[in-house]
Amino acid sequence: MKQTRREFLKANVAAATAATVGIPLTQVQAAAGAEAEKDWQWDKGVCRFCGTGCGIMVATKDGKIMATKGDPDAPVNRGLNCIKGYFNAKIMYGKDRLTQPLLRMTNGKFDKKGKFQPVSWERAFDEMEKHAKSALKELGPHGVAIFGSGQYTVHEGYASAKFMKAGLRSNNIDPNARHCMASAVAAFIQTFGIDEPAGNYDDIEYTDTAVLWGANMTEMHPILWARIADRRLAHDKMRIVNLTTLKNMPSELADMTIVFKPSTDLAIQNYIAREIVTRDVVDHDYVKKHCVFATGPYDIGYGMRGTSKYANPAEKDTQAKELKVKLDKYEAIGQRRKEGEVVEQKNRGKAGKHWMISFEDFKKGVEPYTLDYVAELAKGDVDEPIEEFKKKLKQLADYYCDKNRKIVSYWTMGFNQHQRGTWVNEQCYMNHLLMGKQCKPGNGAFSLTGQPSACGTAREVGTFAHRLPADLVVFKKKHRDFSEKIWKLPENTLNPKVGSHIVKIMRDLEDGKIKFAWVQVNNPFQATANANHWIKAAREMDNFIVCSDGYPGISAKVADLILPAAMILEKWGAYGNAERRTQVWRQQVAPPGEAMGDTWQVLEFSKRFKLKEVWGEQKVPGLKAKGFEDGKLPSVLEAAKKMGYDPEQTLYEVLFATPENKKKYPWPADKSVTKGHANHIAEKLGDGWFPEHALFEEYASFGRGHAHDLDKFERYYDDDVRGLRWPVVNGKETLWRFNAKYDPYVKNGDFEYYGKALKALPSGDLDKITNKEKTKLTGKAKIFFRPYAAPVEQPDKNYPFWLVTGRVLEHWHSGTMTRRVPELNRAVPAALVAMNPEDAKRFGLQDNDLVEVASRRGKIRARVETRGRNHPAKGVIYVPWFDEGVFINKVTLDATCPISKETDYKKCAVKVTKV
Amino acid sequence: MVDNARRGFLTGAFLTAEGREEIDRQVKPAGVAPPWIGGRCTADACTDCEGFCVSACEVGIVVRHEAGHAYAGIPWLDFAAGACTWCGACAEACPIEGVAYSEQARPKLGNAVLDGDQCFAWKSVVCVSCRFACSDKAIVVDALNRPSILDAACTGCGACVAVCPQEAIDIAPANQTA
Repeated sequence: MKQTRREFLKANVAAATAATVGIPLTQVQAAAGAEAEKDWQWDKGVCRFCGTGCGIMVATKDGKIMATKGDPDAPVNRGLNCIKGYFNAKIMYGKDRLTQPLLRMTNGKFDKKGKFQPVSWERAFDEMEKHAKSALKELGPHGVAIFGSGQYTVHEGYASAKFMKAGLRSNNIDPNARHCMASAVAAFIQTFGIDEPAGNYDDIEYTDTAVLWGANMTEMHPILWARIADRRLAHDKMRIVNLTTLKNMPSELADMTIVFKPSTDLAIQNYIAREIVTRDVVDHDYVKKHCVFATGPYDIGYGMRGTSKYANPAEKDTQAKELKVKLDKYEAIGQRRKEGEVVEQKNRGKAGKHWMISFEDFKKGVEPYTLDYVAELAKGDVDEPIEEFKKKLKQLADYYCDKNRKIVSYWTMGFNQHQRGTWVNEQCYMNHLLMGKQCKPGNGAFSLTGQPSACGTAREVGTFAHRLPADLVVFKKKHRDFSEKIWKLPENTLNPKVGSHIVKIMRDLEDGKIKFAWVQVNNPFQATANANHWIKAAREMDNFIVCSDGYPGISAKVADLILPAAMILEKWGAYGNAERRTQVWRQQVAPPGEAMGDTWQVLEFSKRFKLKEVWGEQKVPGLKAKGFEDGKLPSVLEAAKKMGYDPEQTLYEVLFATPENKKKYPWPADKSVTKGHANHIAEKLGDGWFPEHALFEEYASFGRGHAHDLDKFERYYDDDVRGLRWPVVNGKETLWRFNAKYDPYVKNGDFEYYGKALKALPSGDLDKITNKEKTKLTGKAKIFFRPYAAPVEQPDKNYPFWLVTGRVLEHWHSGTMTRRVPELNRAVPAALVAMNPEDAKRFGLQDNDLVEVASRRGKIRARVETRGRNHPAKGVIYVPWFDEGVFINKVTLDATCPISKETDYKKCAVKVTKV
Repeated sequence: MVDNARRGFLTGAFLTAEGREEIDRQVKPAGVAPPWIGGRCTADACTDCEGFCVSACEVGIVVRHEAGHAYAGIPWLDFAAGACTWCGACAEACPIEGVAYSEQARPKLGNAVLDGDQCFAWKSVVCVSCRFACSDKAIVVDALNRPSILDAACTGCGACVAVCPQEAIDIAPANQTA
């Protein structure tokens, strides 16, 4: 069996199947002899879907895609594909592909209540310009916003962020990645002072233990799961633990499944820490040299609105808990307080605040998390005997505590989409750091990402409301200065006020604070929790919503203007995957009709803004920063003139098509890079430069020399390169960061946590700061104590079920692409409500019965399944969100982690009734 | 039937694989017959009623062969539309003498047949689409997640047919798979 599995991964790769597009499979197969493939041109590409970053090979002939297949030379997937990846090309050929701009009109004029009608790009940009400028005039730079994406190519994200931040001086750009891994980011920054994982996928082949904490890898990261399965079968010592709130597919291979109640992962982590401490297996030397202990306030709210003004009557009781919470029995124990105590959430605005504590205090913090307490609190399956559950928890602690066992913890949305997402991420590092099992081959806590470039674009490029490229942030003068220098901007052009995160952009629309919003490479009106509010705000209020997309999803239908976007293989691109691997591809085919790449859309729109319109004095309500007048950005036009700019110049000329870019990065470009491939963006711009090359190099200049080094653009296009894991120093990639054996940035000792952010802390005890004087923590990581906190909304008499949402293997996110592939749609045509068979019986439900799932916020209808892939315990249901016909985000709660602002899609209370 | 085959022969359709496939489509049943009606679904026995079995089916999988087909008018089960639940409505609606629904005996409809050349999992593409479609545990997977069908457990209900992205599963009449 062992051998077979290895054969599967290695030998079988050569036979990996090629996916065909455009024409029915049988015909192609008939013609797919070697003869027919003779003049196919194969080129490397990257999968459009999850954060794994699989390599694909793409065959084209006469400007058409003939086939794609898993890339046998790609170290990530070694020729394998999952079923989505197999259809990378076919997603571009749906019947209802958007091919021309569409504007809501009545009698030839824009009308918010009008019907979509085709218009020219010129007309589309005219309308956008009018509405964007009117919002800027009325509300200032923060009256406009961009919904960005973890699916942006590096170039797209960089162009959008620069256009907004340097051009319009607005920090209101935030990606859907906020919903996906913001909690991981916040924990990386708070723990290590720098973003992104230390380890990489090679850990799989080195480790003895894979622990999944809220990660259904079988369906969501199937190729990495295949590698884990391979390790399990080839390495006798290998064990797999699946921690989850509902039994799912990884349990088939896992040695142990621990089903826990939502949010009690916080308590389980502390139980493990308590075991590490009481068994005295702490790696004291490692901890002493490389770590400090820390904690922060507990009363940080739940990221909901602080006002009930917009809440409908049914929502008010949950919303009220944002300000005041009565501690339940378990929270009281875990937080060393009294049951029933009413705690005002005083630190809602300062949720990320933290301070140093002593090891003694840390021990006091984890002391209440005994096996008895945690087992009673955390057991998620009412039918499981408590002793059985305790045995599992103990076994789990044994794995972590065993000094001779290597262990990797994996997580995705279970941790990240969590009302205490940052805390639970930090707790994972807590246990790895206590044991010294971090940043070593086969040892480490590894955050898997959901989207193909959540790391490479959203995070590293910095398309967040608070970020600039390469971990820089807008609220730090030094970081703004550095960015202004690279971007050749006058001092104080950049706005120091953090913009609105993606949930807040929605709330700002409802508040009338944002009146122009542009959706790019995502589907926020389907993806944002508590969707009824936002759709109403977009459709009924005075605002203008633009949506760039390949297909008409819910966001396009909600918009006022739809722009047809080029898709994955129709443009040049680069993605960065979860293991810091930057990978590129070339344009393979031309986009259909008038569809154009998102980069072009931003560059073209930037021609509509003259410096004098955007770089004069601007109002920014709430802006308060040193060197700035309250509520205002200064005019930088005079300084701009001194730098040689003309106020009549456009943002396109100043930010993008600069003389330098035109000279250094010409188009047509060198054949060694282009290999004869076209570039519809460069060609349509027609002014002789290669935007993707220029944007990449400018972006890379932020990170080079700062532990974010990328190699030269051309290197990634070399035939023998299949992406490189940054930092790439002297042409060499870095496998394990912070470890002197592998990371050239480590200057002192064996390990050095050299990240610079949040590395000076006051000190105190478990409850408060006692010494405001800051201590420098150069080179150290933080071990946080974080307590258990109950979910803000829990099942009760009226809403007796937990609702958990997520994805399925066959569909990507909101399904706009994968539901256009007939094969994928056939496999999973609709979202179902997975339910425990006993619950179904109790409610008189049979498989395939139609039910209504309703929360305080909204309701959907879908069919029940009790024997599918997911097996919820009694009291839990699971509904995936890909199906716009089962619009589950009307039901979900828009509570977020107060530190990361990432929405918790994994827990709210619902009722289920037969229709 | 003869006409079709003869026409194929005369036009040279037999000479190509596509031609032979097309002729097969015209002369062979498109799928298995509804339960209990089973062997009586022949041109001789199946009167041209009005398709009572078709309108009786709660799932909507009973369809009739189209005009021009060798089995024109005779019902078959189109599993692309769903799976048989053995509710018996088709049998109860059938006017043929001797056709009777029985709650106790569920006639086996056929055997699922998996085309390994088409199946994703057999070609290094991670796919789990059929895994949970079978309520009779007739689909088993090996260590590489490649599925096989256990004929003994398979009832031929067809639940695995529609979900396969590759259309790699078909239900063959029980007597043809032996």
